[in-house]
Amino acid sequence: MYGTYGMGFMLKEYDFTFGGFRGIVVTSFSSVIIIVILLHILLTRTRTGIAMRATAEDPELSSILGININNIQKLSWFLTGGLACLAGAMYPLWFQSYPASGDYMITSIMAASLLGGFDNIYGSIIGGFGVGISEIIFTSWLQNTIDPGLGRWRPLIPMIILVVVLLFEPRGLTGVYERIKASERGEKIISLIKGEK
Amino acid sequence: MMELISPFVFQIQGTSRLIVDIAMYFGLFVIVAMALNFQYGNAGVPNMGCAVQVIVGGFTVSAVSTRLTFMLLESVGVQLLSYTSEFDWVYNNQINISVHTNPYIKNHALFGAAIFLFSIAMALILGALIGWLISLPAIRLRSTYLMITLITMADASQIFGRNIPFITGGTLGIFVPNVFAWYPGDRGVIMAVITLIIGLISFFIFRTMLNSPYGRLMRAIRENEVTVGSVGKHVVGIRRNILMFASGITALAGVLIAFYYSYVVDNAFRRSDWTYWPWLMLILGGPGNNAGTFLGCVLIVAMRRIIIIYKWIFEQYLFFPIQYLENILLGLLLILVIIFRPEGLIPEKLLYIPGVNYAKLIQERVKVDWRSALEGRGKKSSIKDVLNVFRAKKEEGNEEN
Repeated sequence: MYGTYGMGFMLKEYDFTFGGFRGIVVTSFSSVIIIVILLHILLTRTRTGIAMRATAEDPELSSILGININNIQKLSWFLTGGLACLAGAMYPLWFQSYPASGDYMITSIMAASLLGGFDNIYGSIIGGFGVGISEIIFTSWLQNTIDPGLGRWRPLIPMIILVVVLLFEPRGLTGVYERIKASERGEKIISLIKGEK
Repeated sequence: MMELISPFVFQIQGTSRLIVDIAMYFGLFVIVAMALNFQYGNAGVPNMGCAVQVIVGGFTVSAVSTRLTFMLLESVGVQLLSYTSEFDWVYNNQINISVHTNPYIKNHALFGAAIFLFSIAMALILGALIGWLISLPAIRLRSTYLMITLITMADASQIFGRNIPFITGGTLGIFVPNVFAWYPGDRGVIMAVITLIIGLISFFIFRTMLNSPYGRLMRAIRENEVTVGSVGKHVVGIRRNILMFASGITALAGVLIAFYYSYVVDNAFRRSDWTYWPWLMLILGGPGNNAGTFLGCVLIVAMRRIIIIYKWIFEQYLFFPIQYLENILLGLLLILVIIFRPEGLIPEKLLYIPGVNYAKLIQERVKVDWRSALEGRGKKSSIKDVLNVFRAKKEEGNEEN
């Protein structure tokens, strides 16, 4: 009969190639960009998105202002489920996966969202890339330079990130950005980057 | 060979074996779920890291108690195979335990009992220590952050256990001494009895704590942290103390399961087994309520053990592998409970402290010394007294009019 790992599957061979890259690389990157643009438009330009942000900030106050919190929360759950499902659909194209793989990803996902900050979608992009890169590239660099046996400690990396972020800046990169913006020197640096006087 | 590894394990078979198994697991899970009820139901500390504390108990037995047993045996003069290097620790372990240690304990009952008590004391200390350690990053922050850290800590502890062979022998696991080798009957029975006794003791400890002034302080923190802080109580410190205390008790479950299996491996302490199932028991029974915790524990442990033991019957009716039935049931039950009975099977009642005379309290507006309330248990007020007082007051009002 089948064991737990016997249910594992991988859809690598069904993937197409595009300009020398595997199709999933192109698809995942482009879909990230499209989704972020769409979410940005939704959250800043439409009434629903603004209501959503208001509900996240203070549910009671926004319900006084006539926002139907239940519907807004249902919509945000709907969006969350859809986006997570999209990620899940792309996962088996690159990694070996089986019905319980979500359990193994949850740490990295939480570390990524915490690194980015819970209240910011741009932060979560940086956080996602940061955790992913540190987990894969940093580990392989350590394995090449110091000891190949270090690879077994890889799952510990997101946890270390998580603990460090919580100890020093619980709001993640969003908090760091705001702290820089609040100081005089940081203000100058930001205005330099933006090209203002 | 089977007898060499674990003598007397299979003396009881069939349905009685199932009952012993259910009793054992009920004892284990009731300790974990009661500690969870203490933290979440009464103090509002969402401890999603029960698995860490249980794992600490298991690792205490494998890394500390087993090593101490070997050292003591060597000092007594029993010839053991080498156990100092990593390789020897893992590969000579089985011979050391089954050929040298267990026969010695069979003749020296006190030695076994001492090792058992030492493990329990050590688990209490190390569990409290780990509770303090995992509370460091997030105890000051919103409870969401605490939950996230604790969920991930369960994985971290498993990774440590898997990768450091000195703790549990890596992926191979470690056999631990059978401290009840002197017991002539089935080891499962005596383990179940001792587990239930320890569960009962911890129940009384928790009940006393909940009825004490500190317990009322905990409930106050659950209801409103800001108010408690404004009265001058150190909310963060209290939350941390609660987490530490409950961690110590939860670690006992790890010790007991290690001695029940006579074997410790990191994969026996998975997050879903030791965090999500106790949470389901708590939510099903009703948080903030020990009776509810007992009910949830009995129902769920019985259901799980019966499914696990008779899985060949259930497997015929399923179109997916039986391994996933457990996780599906966990999710399904959690959703059903949240939809249909969000307050649990037994909802939380108002706090009733034995010894406080409520009728007198209403009648005379007496100043109650809450600290000494527990001492006067004999005087119990019934609902009739309270009703009489109300009736008397009503009559007084009528007369005035």
